[in-house]
Amino acid sequence: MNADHDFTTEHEYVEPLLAEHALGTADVLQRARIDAHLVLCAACRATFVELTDAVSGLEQVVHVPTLEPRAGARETLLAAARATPQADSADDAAAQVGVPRRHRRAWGAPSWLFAGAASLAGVALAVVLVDRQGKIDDLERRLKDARGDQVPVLKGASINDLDIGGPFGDTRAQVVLKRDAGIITFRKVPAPPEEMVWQVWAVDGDDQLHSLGTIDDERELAIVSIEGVDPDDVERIIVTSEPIDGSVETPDQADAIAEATV
Amino acid sequence: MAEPLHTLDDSVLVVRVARGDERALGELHDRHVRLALSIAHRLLRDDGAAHEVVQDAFVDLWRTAPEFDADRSSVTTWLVRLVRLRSIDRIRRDGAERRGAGRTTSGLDAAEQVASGEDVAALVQDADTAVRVRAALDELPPDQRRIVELAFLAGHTHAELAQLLQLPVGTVKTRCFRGLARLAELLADEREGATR
Repeated sequence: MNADHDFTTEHEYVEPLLAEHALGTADVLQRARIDAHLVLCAACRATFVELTDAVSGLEQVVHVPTLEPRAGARETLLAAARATPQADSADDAAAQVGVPRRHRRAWGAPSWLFAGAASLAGVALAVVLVDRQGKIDDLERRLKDARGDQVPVLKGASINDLDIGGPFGDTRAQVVLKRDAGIITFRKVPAPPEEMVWQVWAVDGDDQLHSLGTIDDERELAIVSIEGVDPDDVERIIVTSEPIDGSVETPDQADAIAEATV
Repeated sequence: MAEPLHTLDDSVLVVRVARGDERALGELHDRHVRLALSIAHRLLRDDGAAHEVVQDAFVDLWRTAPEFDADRSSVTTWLVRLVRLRSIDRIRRDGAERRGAGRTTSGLDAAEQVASGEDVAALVQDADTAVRVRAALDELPPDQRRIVELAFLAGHTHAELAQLLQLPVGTVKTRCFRGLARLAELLADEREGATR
């Protein structure tokens, strides 16, 4: 019953967002959540294919040849392609959207629909990681200084279902780390404080800190893709509250760290 | 003797791309690069950024070609999606940098231009096609049509449209879905009619 209820709830949330997803305007976290639902929901897949066809149809009829390709564009592309490995199979795309390996061959969904979004989500998060590297270095140093005062919030088995407290408040968000799918799901995430977002970090076995992305609003379900670190190497997940303008709160401010108990 | 690439269908070329055939990728590039540049340029309004985004989208096509299912959709639809995603992500990234520097976002500037009169049908060059697209758009209730056009032309999120139009996000979400779904039906009917 719970699984059916969860599916129905998710369907009701995702269906109205399919247009935004087809238009390409859904944000990175929404894309991951919608893609995860599309894997399971044939009705939404059919609708999504129709909507993407409509967007493509519009693009083709409003096509105005405003720009000519640059000289050498083809050769530049081929050189870039030579340096870019191709996906082995739909498994890679499925992994990006959180489909367990045992299910990946059976879903029959148009994996290309997800592949672009999933790969771009990775790009966006990578950009965040690069942009914030200096702040991350600082946060890492402070985190190490504070070790002992701060409680590791997540560790252990391939799938964990933990409560997070701290700034998440009394509602206590549930966190599930799915190493094989390379994602972390957060359920029942309360709204961050005003002008703040939740920033999710992964700490690997060498105590390196990796920025995984942000959760900007109250969410029944948020999915964060594990990028820039091997999911098997993730030892802890840390959640901080961060100003919405991108400046990172330091972890020695106690109210900026989410704590969890195993 | 192998068939010349220019005689092959897009879906056959993608199969070859999936096998690592660079020449097939080059052929797809030659066929569709102008459409891709048109989309990126309209969304980004910047020549240099449009060229970069289009190359990235074709690299995405190369990388994910083994996952493409020609039975589900056309290569053009796939490429259009890749270009739109790349372009909209670029708008957001550049917008975030501008906000960080205390400047306004290009996205809202673009939306304001769109809101001031630009519409989808006005951009259609081919007269017969313009009539059909305008007819389909005219079938939409005005509130749905405006939101679909704003999201389509300027690449805005529901939240940004809600801010621009002073509407609740839920209203924007509902109107956008209903409008685009209805448009999909109308354009599908149009395609069926054209092939009869």
